[in-house]
Amino acid sequence: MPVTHQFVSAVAAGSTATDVLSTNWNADHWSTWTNSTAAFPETFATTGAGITSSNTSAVSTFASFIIPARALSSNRMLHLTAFGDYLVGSTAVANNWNVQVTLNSSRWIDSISTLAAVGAARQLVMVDVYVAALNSSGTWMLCGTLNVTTTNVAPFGVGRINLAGYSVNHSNVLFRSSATFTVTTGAASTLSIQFKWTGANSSLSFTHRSYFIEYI
Amino acid sequence: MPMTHQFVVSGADGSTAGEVLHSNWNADHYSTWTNSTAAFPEVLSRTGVAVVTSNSSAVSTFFSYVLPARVMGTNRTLRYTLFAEDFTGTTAVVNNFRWQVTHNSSRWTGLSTGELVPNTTTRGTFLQVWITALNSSATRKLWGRFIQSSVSLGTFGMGDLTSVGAAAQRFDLQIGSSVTYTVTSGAASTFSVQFNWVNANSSLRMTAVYSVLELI
Repeated sequence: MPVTHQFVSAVAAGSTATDVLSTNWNADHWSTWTNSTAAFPETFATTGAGITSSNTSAVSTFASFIIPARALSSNRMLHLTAFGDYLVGSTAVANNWNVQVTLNSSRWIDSISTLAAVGAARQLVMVDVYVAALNSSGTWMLCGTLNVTTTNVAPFGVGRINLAGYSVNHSNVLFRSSATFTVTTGAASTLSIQFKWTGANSSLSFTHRSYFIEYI
Repeated sequence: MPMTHQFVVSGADGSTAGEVLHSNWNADHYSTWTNSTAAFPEVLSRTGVAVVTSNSSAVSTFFSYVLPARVMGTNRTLRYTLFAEDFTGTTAVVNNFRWQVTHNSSRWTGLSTGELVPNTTTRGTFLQVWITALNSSATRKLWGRFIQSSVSLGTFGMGDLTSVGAAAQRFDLQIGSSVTYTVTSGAASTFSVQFNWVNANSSLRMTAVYSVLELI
């Protein structure tokens, strides 16, 4: 979040007030509206590596990120955005799946158990996860949105605009952990998104495509 | 938005072309892709301080920020994100509520009159608002997205992925000011988010958990 010069001057600061001292060179930069060194968002991590879970009911970890100790300070927020898609090739199998968003031991878990239709195209999944520090004592909140399309396709691509209301999406959910929770101040924390099919079958395929994390 | 050094040199520039002059040191930084001083997003405000309204029909201001004059330039966007939670303990009361997003006198106001189901636990609300400068004449447009979860729970945590379509969400709507509007060039303007229960009752509680305002 703070922005600095790459080069760090090791020279002791001089004493002439109107000179740019080595400490001035090494200092964090400011934003001009808020005069703050903490005003600049930063991208923490991003990956485009596809991870596929098919023909297995084992848990796959699609995104895992270690939040450095004190990174969220007293009021910072992380925003993780993840994209995936899946294909149900046959309804003759138990084609349900579970998703889990965890931060240390706090989490949201749920399952889709109503996948009745075979996908003519891959169904899209988008997850937005927000983790915010509510104070300087390590009290955090976790919440987010998860959207799953139906098997409807557009004239080109996936996702149909010609259906009213909610019928274009299979699921829209605003999720969160049960309550605010506490992490250990001074220790790192782990944010992760995990997925698993309820039953293994070769007609079931879920691919996590990418995610990125913004530090706000 | 512009990024500078914290220390400002007050002396006059020298005349040696190959040197870093005082004015160079004091200048806004550039982004390397766009060669722009305005390319860096800036977080204007974050707060994890909870604002609670219960047993009251008075208007609660969940967030208020005075935007400095010209902060949005000719084409900047503000993005506001709020996480909140509510609890309706009984249907024996008129448990309707009102949300309002205002920028000076322009606004969106929504009233929920169909709150029939008491919560078994707290319910989540997600509000995201964008305000964009459409030109250099201070013409603005406000729009956003408002989501409130149903009372359904996940396997662990809150938010029901199993419910198909609309069942997992109480509301999922796009909001906006009625038309574009104009603020006074050269003057500050106020952005705020407010809430009130229509009637006071001790079984009703809304808590604004976390807010962040970004200049993009």
